[in-house]
Amino acid sequence: MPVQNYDVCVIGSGAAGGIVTKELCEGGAKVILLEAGAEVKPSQFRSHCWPYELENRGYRSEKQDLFYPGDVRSSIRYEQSDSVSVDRIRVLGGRTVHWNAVVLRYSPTDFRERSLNGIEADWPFSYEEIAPYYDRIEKMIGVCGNDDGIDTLPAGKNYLPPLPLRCSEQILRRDIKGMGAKVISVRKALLTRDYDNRPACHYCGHCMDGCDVSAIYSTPGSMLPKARRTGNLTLRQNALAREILLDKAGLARGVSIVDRQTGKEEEIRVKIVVVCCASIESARLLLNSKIANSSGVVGRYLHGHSTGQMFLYLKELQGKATGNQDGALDQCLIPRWDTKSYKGTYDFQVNYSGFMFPFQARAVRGYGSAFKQRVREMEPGFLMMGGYCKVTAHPDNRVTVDPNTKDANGIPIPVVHFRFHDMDKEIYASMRASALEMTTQLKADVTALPPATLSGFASHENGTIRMGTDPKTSVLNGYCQSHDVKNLFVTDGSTFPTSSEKNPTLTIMAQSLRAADYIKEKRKRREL
Amino acid sequence: MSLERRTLLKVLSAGAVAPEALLSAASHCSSSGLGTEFDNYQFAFFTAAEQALAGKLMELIIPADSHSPGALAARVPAFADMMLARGSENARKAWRSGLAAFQTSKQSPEETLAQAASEEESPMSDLGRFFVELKRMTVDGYYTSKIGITDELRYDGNQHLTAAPQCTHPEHQ
Repeated sequence: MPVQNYDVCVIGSGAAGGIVTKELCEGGAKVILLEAGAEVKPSQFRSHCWPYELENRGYRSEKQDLFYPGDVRSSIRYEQSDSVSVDRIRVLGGRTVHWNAVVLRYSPTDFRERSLNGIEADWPFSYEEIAPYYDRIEKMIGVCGNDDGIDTLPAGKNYLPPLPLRCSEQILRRDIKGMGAKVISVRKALLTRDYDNRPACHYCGHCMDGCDVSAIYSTPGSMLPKARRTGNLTLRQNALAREILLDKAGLARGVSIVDRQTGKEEEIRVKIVVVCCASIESARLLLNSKIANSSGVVGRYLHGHSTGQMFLYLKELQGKATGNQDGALDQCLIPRWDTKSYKGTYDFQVNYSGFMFPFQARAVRGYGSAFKQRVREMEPGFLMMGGYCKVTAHPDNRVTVDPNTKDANGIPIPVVHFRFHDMDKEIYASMRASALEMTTQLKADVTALPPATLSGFASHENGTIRMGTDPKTSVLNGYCQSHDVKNLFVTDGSTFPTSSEKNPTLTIMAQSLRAADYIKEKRKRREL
Repeated sequence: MSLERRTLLKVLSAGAVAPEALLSAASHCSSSGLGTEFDNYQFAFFTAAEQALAGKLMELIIPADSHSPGALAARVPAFADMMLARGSENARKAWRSGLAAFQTSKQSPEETLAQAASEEESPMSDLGRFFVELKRMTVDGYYTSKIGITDELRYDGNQHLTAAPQCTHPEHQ
């Protein structure tokens, strides 16, 4: 078997892996970055395609198919699970090439659920400890927004100009004031002016399909050019990590990989392994490797977000000529406003679907010219929202592996076991009640409300390899370092002891930066 | 081509993006490069009679009128045929028997459609359920066609802009 030697192996090139790779390369380490997928070039993105230029009119996830090659969609099983789905994107850049780029800081209380509310667990670090890393990350990636003076949503110091509100969002702000809910400009890793050698957004409304000019932050568009400039980066694409291998002393000696194109196996020899494959694949890798699990916690405490969407058509705007309103998709956000109890742990993301397809046509009754006219009239009134609710962390909600069922590369597949708990249902029910209240405040035709039963995780799954101060109940310490295997780190969302209502990416990046600092320091002192 | 030439020129003159990035983006919309405007489409599922009937029903659902062309001009029957040919066996069966119900009915297609549509809110019969499928297919095909997007809805997005859309109406604030 061919063997190659490096200082550090980073597995996964998404939000976590991109930051760690760039930082460690700049810190002088020889880094090999493994990505199970391959690069989809900006020129291959289908972002700007009209539906009639595509083979399936954009249906059947056609615009994003390139990000999910091979059997990655099917080589997973859900066992005795509620309605949840997890994302296992397989492309250079991971979910940073397929995201809406909403980047929200967790608040001080989000890190202290056990101390403040007696539920779940505290994080091993506080807001004050992570805040300087939030500052640095926001500067690195470029974030637009405002300091809105909201306690539940701490603000940074380095924001680019905020996105303005569009007509439907101004009306939303005006009409739901009485509920105590604020409508603010979203905080997004999206450039509202040229920044860091990347151009400003061109407001095409296709953020989720890949940003061809990297106006949205992505690993390939932002971090890899910097890592390459150091001369310390080796990028291996189509390299699926099978196992992390330990030496006799119990330290990681390397990673065995399968080349997805040739089927050949190789061993990468390194001094440090950093796992950044996201909650499902990171847990799968550790479980298949049978390492770092003296706590028995690997795979456990899967959590994230539950969501429910609503579609409304504001009467004030129906029949009006509003022009092109697609913009940067969700230009605004309704942050959590009810802080009286845990039931208020939800926010609303607004208008993350564009205007091209008239969803009301699937709801308006009847047919003929009158139907056609009604669809046309309603169109400018379009306003859609999704409530994002905290899902609590429980040990029985977990990822396991099935040694008897293997994927196309001969690696045991992950199995998801997940049930919502009462608290999750209560939070979702409060979100839904707020959604219903909004429909009474807004003069609108409502075509869809959040369904009565909740579902998850809207690509925001967390947990499975949680951090903590106690090696008996957690896998990693506060620097994302394995309690058992000192040269093994995990810095993606799987580390999260708890979720909040906020999107996890910014916190994933901040803790990745913090872990990279820690690794650099330990390497300097020759402790790693 | 996915971007209007004038839009391209506007962006290129602004100098924001490497020209080759945009120009190559414009030709990568489908792996076959064919798209689905159905210019020379060969029907794979519908028989000639089914195709004619489906077209008639679809045009009743979204007709040509003074505002814009309808489902037939937008080639929705070809869209439906493509989706069904690539879809599930169950969907194909439902369509075959749904169309057969229209063919064997003593009533005119217009009358049968009206009867089927009367159940739209909560369909009880096979015919009512088929109407929901037929209408959904018509909607999904029509509003993803060039006619549906441009002529009917006059959608003017999917453009390169230099500033984010913003509300400037005092009455909305």
